[in-house]
Amino acid sequence: MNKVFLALAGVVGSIPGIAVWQSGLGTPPNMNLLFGGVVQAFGAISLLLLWVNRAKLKLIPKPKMTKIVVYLIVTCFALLSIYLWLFGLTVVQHEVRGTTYYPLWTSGEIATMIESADNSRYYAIEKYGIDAVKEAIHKMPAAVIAITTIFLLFIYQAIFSTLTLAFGVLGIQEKLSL
Amino acid sequence: MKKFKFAIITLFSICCIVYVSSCAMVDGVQLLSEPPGAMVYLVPLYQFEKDTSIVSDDAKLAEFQVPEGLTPVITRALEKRYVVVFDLNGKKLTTRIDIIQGQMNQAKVVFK
Repeated sequence: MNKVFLALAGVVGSIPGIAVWQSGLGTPPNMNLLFGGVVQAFGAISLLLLWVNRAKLKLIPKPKMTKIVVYLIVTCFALLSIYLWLFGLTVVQHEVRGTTYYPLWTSGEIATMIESADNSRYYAIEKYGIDAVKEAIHKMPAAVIAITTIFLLFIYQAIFSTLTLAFGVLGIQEKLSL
Repeated sequence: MKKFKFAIITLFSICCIVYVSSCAMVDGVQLLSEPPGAMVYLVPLYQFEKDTSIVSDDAKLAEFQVPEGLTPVITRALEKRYVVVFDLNGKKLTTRIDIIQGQMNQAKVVFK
């Protein structure tokens, strides 16, 4: 069983990064390389952390370890829920007009556009056209989009890292070295 | 601490650089009038809503003039909704056009 957990930790720690890199699954437009690369790097670091601390981890009693794993899984699910919510807020897809990457919060021209489109980011694209919305977003300070990306990136990698840690911790607990 | 700051600044810079949103021009936007020979202006809807007097102000309209010339004219524009102003010998008519890539983008007015 421990081998299964360790194999799963390896899979969760290494495969998603490459998959995200290739497919751009759940990433903002044109950001599959950044998100995939970061997930890959954090997955590797998570596995390395587990390996470095394997001796200490083996000493933790099983009930406490179970608790840690449950916390990690719950955290993973909570982060996934938050990410899906934020993704829906920031990456707005219009069937005909294309996809726009909005910042977490808006101000100036883009805020006015959204307000006049019944406070809907989707209807702002419908009402004014995708390029009008993109131009208005570009008029906001560049830091706003950067902060949005950093926030999404942090949550995105944490989803995979917590899952890697959960599987890895279970594997190590079964007293099998990595 | 210095390395941490460096990492944060690097990540921040990458995030700023990576976000390149493409605004591609749509070719083949047809602007027609009957009779031909009208001057055309493509005013983005947002600009029009901000200042509806733009239609009657030639100085403000100049910024939005279609550079290819008089109707019938084929031009290129960004994917936006526009208020199209046709000016034939001082008489103005307006209509709207919703420019979308891959669709037929045409606006036509008839001066009576």
